Amino acid sequence: MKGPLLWGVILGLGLIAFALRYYPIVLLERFHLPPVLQQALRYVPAATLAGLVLPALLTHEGHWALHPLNPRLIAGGVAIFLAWRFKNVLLTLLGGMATLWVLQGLGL
Amino acid sequence: MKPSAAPTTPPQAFGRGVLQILPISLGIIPFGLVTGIAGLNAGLSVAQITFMSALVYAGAAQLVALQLIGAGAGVPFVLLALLVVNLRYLMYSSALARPFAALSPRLKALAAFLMVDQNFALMMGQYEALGPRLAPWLYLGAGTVLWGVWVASSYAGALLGAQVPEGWSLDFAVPLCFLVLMVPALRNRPSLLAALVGGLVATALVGLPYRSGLFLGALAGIAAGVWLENRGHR
Repeated sequence: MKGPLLWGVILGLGLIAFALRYYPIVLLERFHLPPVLQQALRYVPAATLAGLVLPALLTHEGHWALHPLNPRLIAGGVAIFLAWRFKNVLLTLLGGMATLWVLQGLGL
Repeated sequence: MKPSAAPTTPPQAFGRGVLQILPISLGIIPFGLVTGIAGLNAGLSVAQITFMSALVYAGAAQLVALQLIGAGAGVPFVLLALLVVNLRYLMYSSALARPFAALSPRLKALAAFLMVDQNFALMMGQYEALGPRLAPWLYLGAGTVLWGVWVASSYAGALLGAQVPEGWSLDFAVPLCFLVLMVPALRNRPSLLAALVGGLVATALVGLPYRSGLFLGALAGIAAGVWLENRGHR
């Protein structure tokens, strides 16, 4: 893929990305969602974000990597503890990255 | 943030959104760098990478689309992959319909364009305290900063390219960015269960094409959270 086609693909990606974000806002304001859907929407952040986090900690090259010396699992655990205990964004990011660097430096 | 610093006007709410998102937006710099490098690997020019980040503005989906472009996948598959990875925005956008109901049509379009995990999570966490008059401005302030940082860091990644050593494991900053948002969203047992189920199902299905496991996992996690909450009421 190159040149004009690639520009076209990027435009198409932009249109789809915008439509997904835009239409529910303008279509749903006129009527109320059923209570069970409103309740369901409250769990969207937790369920979705965990789906972006856990695979990166629990898998390696597409397979489960649950062994206790998996450096990304340990670094992720440290980051979860830091985020929960101190509620500090930079501390969490730096603590997680530093843990991974140390473990990789140790040859894990 | 102390209660005394609570915003009372839309510009103050916008400013508070800018300030509160700054540390989080520092965290997306490595994410943008990784995306810029992935764009180079997929054969895009620096201009195309920067334009893509400015227009599409969706980290995880861009990474998946770039992988497919680099692998020579057909155009429909690239578009479909973005659709599936970004389906969560249908849920975010649905949740934001009522909070944004009072915005002008133009601001609604802008708010939709600037929608990402970070400003959505920030706003949902403060909507009860700020209400529908101020919370959208907190969201817009945060979204403006996030967009600027995202475009600049993707551009920087495309310029630096392969000069970033692999040993830095910058790709690990991507899940860490999401982790920072996830932990405060775990406020009670149902949300904890929603995260556990959503995360584990997504992990189990990580081999599915177009990262559709992310969406299926989210549906399973949401169902689990709703189930536990309703069970507690009976």
